[in-house]
Amino acid sequence: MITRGAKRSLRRVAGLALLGALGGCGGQIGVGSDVLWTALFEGDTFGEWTGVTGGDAQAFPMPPNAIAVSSDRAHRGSFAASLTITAGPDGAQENAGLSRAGGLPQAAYYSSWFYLTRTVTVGTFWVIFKFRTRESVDDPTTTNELYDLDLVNMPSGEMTLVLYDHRTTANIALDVADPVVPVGSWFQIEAYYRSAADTTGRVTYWLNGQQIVDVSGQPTGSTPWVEWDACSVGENLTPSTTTLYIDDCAVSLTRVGPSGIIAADSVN
Amino acid sequence: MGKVSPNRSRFGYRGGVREAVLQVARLAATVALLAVASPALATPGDGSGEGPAGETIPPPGALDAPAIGGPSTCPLPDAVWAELGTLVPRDRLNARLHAVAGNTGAVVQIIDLGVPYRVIAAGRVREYRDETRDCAYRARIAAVFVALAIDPAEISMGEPTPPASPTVPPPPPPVTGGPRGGTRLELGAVVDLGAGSGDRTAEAGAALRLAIGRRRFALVAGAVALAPVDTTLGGVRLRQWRLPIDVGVRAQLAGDRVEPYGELGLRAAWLSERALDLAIPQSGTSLDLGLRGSVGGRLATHGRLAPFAALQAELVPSPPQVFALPEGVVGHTPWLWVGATVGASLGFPP
Repeated sequence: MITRGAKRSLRRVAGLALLGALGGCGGQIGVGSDVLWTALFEGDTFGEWTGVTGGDAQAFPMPPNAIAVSSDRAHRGSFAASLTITAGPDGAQENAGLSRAGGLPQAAYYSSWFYLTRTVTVGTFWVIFKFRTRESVDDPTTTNELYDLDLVNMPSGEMTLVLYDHRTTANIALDVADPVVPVGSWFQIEAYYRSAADTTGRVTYWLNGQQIVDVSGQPTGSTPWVEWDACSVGENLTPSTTTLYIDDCAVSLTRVGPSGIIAADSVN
Repeated sequence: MGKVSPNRSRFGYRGGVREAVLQVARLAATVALLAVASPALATPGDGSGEGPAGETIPPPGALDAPAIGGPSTCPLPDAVWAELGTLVPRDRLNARLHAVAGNTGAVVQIIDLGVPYRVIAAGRVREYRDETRDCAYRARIAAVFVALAIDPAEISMGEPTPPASPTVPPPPPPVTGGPRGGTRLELGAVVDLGAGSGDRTAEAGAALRLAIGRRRFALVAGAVALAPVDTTLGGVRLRQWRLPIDVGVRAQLAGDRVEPYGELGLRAAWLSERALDLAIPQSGTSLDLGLRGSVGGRLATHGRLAPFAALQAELVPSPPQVFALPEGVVGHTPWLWVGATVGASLGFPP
């Protein structure tokens, strides 16, 4: 015999089950990732760069140039890398960079977030995103410059991007003329790069999700070897001391995009 | 006093039914004989044949015209006539037959149709079945019907109950408004089609259901084992594996050919998703909850096993989201599943 209390309990359970069915318990099912590598700097170190083969984080000469993990700004989380160079009008190239040399896929998407604290007048060049190639995979002396993505100034004083091809020593015309690079807010630069000695080579860039240039159907690297740098390499900048913040770097087999999530625990 | 069926044991396991028939027949005969016993005994040796008292019974042809005829060989009209003589005194019988027939010929026709046999008496027709073709038994039954037909005022016990076929068991009495059987175990093949934010997903597997309750409503619970299938969600190829279970109420009706039913209940499904093409694949599981409805029908058979077919739908109001890096949420699993099940239902008596 079912007691009144038991009936109440049964009704309660049935009600909860019905509510659960109607409201659903939803939830998420994680099925994996196409993100091969990330650098979030949330460990307050450059270990994500220096802990992998071919990875590096350095500034030279140092001083005056410096790199640090900073909590002054962060795209997500609490930390970002700050790359400071002092590039005066003396004609010297100043360098601070985070690099992955080798150990990368022949084709992949490379994503990084940048932050400019102010508008900088670029006298000679200021490279923030670059690819290198190597003619012999095992011979570092055969490493060659390939593509530089540079910050430059528009006549209006705003900052924009140019793509420089070291092989032709010339800029490649962008598909989008003079895309504006924001100052005082984070912006994402992402590139698809396929290293190939034949016409399957390709490089494509996006600024905040907008494709700005696509170079395809021509050789890129002579070997599958790839070096990617998120950097601040400049000469003749005004003001000469500039700090560039970099955060949430990733190498992925699918495009990250501005809304992409590169780490399951990086969702804010 | 004559016996309608003195050899009851011959009817084997149907003896209960036969006994009921014979009891009616005996009672009718008893009433008839009580009603006519005195005049019959008061006129012994009238030359009409051997009745209950042992006198000789003349054949039907002793009347002005043959009173019992017909082409039947089982029973023979003569056998019916002889049995009739054990029920009704011969003079009264002759008088009634004359009155009914008006000297126009046979008022009783016996027609053998194989398993069935037809008796026509005084304008009344009755058909009985006897698969054993027990001619003596048929004669007794026909005689009782004839006696009642030609002299209903004297024998008012009503018509004899037609015997049931001795070789075909009668169907069990139906439960009012509900189907036969108490508990049913159903096993079937199931196909489900899912509609979500990705590709249409078709799944196939086996379903096992248990329904308990023989009246209009029954409790029902089921489980389905579906084979894993590949699908694409938000550009991510997945291998999906689903194992739903459900519990609910079945409303069911009895029917001559098909016993229809409908079900409504709650369902839960264990769901596993695994990426096939991601650089770092992993498997994830979730439990989704929803409502399940079904309509179906089961063929009404006399045996315990019956084929069934059903259509089902499952509504999942909040299906789990599928998450992959770097896209984030690439979509959700189907919120609606529709499908069909065919199989066999095994009934257990209550």
